Amino acid sequence: MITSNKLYRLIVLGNTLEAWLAAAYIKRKMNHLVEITIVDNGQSNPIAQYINLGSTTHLFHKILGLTQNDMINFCEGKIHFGQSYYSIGDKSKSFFIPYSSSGFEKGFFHFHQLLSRINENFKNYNESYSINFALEKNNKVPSQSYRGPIPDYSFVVNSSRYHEKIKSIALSMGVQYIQSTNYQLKTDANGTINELTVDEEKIKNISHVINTLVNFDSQPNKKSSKASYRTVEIVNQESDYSDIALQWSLDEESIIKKQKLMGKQFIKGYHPIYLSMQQIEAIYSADNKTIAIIEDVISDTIEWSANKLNISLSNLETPPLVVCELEHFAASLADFIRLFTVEKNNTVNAKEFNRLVNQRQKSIDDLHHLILYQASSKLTPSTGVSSKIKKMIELYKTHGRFSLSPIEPVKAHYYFSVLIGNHLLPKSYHPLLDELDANQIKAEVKGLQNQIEIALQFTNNKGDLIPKR
Amino acid sequence: MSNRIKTIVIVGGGTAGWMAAAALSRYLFSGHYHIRLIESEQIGTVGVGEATIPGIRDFNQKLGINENDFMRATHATFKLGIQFEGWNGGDDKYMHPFGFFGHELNGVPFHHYWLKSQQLSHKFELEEFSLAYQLAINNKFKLPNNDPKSIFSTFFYAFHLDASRYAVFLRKYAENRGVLRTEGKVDTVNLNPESGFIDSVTLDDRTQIKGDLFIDCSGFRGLLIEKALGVGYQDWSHWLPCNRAVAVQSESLEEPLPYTRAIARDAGWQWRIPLQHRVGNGYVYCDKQISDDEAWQTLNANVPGKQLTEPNFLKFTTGRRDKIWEKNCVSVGLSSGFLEPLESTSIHLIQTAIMKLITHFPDNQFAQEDIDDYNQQMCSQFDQVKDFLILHYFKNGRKDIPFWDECRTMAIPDSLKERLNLFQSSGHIQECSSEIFVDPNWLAVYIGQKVKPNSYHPLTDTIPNEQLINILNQMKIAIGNAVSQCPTHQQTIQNYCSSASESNL
Ligand SMILES: Cc1cc2nc3c(=O)[nH]c(=O)nc-3n(C[C@H](O)[C@H](O)[C@H](O)COP(=O)(O)OP(=O)(O)OC[C@H]3O[C@@H](n4cnc5c(N)ncnc54)[C@H](O)[C@@H]3O)c2cc1C
Repeated sequence: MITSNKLYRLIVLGNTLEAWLAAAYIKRKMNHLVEITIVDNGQSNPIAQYINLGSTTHLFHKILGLTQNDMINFCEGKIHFGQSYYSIGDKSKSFFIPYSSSGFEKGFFHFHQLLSRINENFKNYNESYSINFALEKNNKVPSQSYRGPIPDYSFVVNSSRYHEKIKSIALSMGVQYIQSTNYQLKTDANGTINELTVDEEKIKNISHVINTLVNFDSQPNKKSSKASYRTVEIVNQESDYSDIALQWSLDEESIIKKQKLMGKQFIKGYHPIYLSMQQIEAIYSADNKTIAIIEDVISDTIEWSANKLNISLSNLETPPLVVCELEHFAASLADFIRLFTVEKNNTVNAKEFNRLVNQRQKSIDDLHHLILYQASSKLTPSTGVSSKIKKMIELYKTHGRFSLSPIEPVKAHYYFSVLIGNHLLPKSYHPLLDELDANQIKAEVKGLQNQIEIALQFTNNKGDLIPKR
Repeated sequence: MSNRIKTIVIVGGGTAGWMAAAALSRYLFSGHYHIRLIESEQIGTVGVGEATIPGIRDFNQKLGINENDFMRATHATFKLGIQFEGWNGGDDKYMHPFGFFGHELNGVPFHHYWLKSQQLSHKFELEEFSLAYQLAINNKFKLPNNDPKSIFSTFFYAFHLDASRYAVFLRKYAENRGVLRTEGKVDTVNLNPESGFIDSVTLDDRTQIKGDLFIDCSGFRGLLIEKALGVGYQDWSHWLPCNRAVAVQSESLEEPLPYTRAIARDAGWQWRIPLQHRVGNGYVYCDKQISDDEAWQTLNANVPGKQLTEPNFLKFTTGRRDKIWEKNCVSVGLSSGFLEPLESTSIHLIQTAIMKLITHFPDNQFAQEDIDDYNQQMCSQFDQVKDFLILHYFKNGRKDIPFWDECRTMAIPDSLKERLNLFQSSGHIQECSSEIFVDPNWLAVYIGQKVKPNSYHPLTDTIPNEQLINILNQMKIAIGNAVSQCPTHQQTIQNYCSSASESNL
């Protein structure tokens, strides 16, 4: 058996948010076993001014040592309980995805099936039966006197403040930072990086290199032939992405016009965006202000090969419609730590890491495609929608069933929100629901609405901390 | 709802048939549905299937069955795991206990610390950190509790039960809830000439029984799903080569053990399943290696105590149907497939099939999407169990015995290869969706079958060696203390569910 008890040397390339996040997280986890050096090539990676941290990263931030106070007061964070989507073409197709599911499940029956059983109009089921929606709409957060479970929430923070905070945490833990454009990585005969020279100083016996640059080669500033970039011009830096509006254009003429126009335009920055569909031309805020114009998409994947790991928010192709790049990134870092190994060039663990990341990626893409598919009646069903998601939609259409494996990162209620929000209602409900007493279901549904009303009385304005349970 | 189906016909009254009838009668209680079960005493049931895994408790709970009543009625004992004897050759033994090994530290699974401790001066056995194992081996038992802080929340239990009594118990349950039982032999399955759906079955006395939904619980015959609908079968004998069994019941000579024994023999393995009133025995073997007579001689020589039944010879082909649900027919139990009883998974697969049928319950349109989704989910259950079973054979250490040598050199499925590579490389246990067997189950068999990782997780080094030894010693002491507090298995049975006090259920 290979024993460890040694010091690992990790090189992180890039002065990016993801570089500091990776360094801080790995250092926190591996403590004195690891020596981390961030080498900055001078390239900056501006992302949107605000970043949604996602509802599943609380543990990640706890490990990093970030408190709610830090999020709200230092990072100028705002709390959100879900994501609103406004459809510009057909306003009635706007919808909200709450971070916690709406209503309640009864045995194996989904909430929307229960509503259907009692002939309740459930088109707005998130709006009427979700504490998340109620809080979001009323601009409230639960107060100390609030009873009941705390709904899932996310922070939307100022990304440069957040970056600054993470950087200071990493530095305080002893992460080294070298700012130089004059560095070189040396690889051995197998293509494995084993040495870094910075301004003639050498760091030897490197265990892993984490490359957080958009550029995929180990050489900075050299565009890989494999990678294709698609970028977005962020027009409205003030927008925080918590409200997203969409507009599609399928007509050839406008696409060509846009492409011509964009080709000439100065690109202020890029956003980690993945779009497989040409039809989207812009992301708008709820008040119809353009947030970003999409020009191109990054289309490589996160990958761990030999001792090089390309791990970056930009590389994680999280689509803009499913705001979860940080969640995906945090989960990938946790996978990396779980699979960290003593053996150099361990391809088995790298393969498993890639499998996990890609599996998660696929689920996120699926939801993204579903949002596109549903929101635009003009799109042909085959566009971008995976066969898995098509099957799930067909399954849903008959009796409102939906089967997702328990380890899927995207939860079933996200899909229901999109489908129901776009008026796609099942033909019928679960046949065994007739076995239940409709009056009792009605009473329970009414009870839920009362609970939401009561809960709203025990809230503060947004900006306050959320009680810990 | 207007397009509701009305009549459900279950063909077969073995464990599968009565489990299906009981569960359906529990969920379909409003009188909208008629449930009918046909069975033939003349044909009888397979007559084996007595060891279970912990999921059965969930099934019983969903049906609202009182555990004491159930155990009394089925003469059940508690089961904390399976002991594999001789699978590595010689006298080597290991157990697959139902529960955790130690507890994780700093987010790193416990077994990495144990692997690391193997390099240090102080050697520990993995089993020293399993309360389930320690209880089992000391013949003790106490019900676990749900408080995650308590050491008694670190194990689960299942049962050894008398399968024919379980069927009788469930029959009573189902009949009390309106299930109609018909004694008779199904002679013909009548298909609708246009749709190919099953319209009805005709019994040997010419009675015709119509139905909307048919559940095939006819055992290995697959009377409806295969003989009538011809869905096809995936033969997995090249991975799981045992295809025969001989079973016999014997009297108990000692207090019942709270675990199943799986003893490796030259052409397969022998089970011993202790019930309250007797012991179930059997030899699962491959007919390419030995004849039925030879198998019986081996079993006969290895069953202590008086035999209570004649030997029961059984034939099977490991594998599963290509489709578990076809048109208006769902196969449940042996009719849907059989993987061999090494890890006692068949009853679990029955309950999964039934619960998934309830979640996918059809109306008279029989939406193909529901059927496809059901099939995909059920097939994946079979596939996962398959990999777990193959692991036991593939990693055996019984050298120079043709059957075992062949198993060791067989080509295994890619999915298992990947899992094994990952564990061997760094002790990582691959996580998969909705699995019957999870980390501790795989770990027990990997380590038991001497699959050793090349390295342990580097993060274990965040704890200094001396401190690690201390922590491990403390865990061991805590488990020892817990075991010493527990009554014997026999005492718990006596107090909780002795069949001697069987009530009139
Ligand atoms: C050797 C061996 C050991 C096993 N050990 C275990 C174990 O430890 N744990 C476990 O979980 N499982 C075990 N199993 C599997 C377990 O026995 C079965 O899953 C369980 O008994 C269910 O069987 P069944 O009801 O599907 O079939 P059967 O018990 O065969 O029942 C079939 C039913 O169909 C009826 N029938 C058949 N044809 C007709 C007809 N023409 N007309 C009317 N009725 C008909 C029969 O009368 C009978 O009632 C084992 C199986 C074998 C072979």
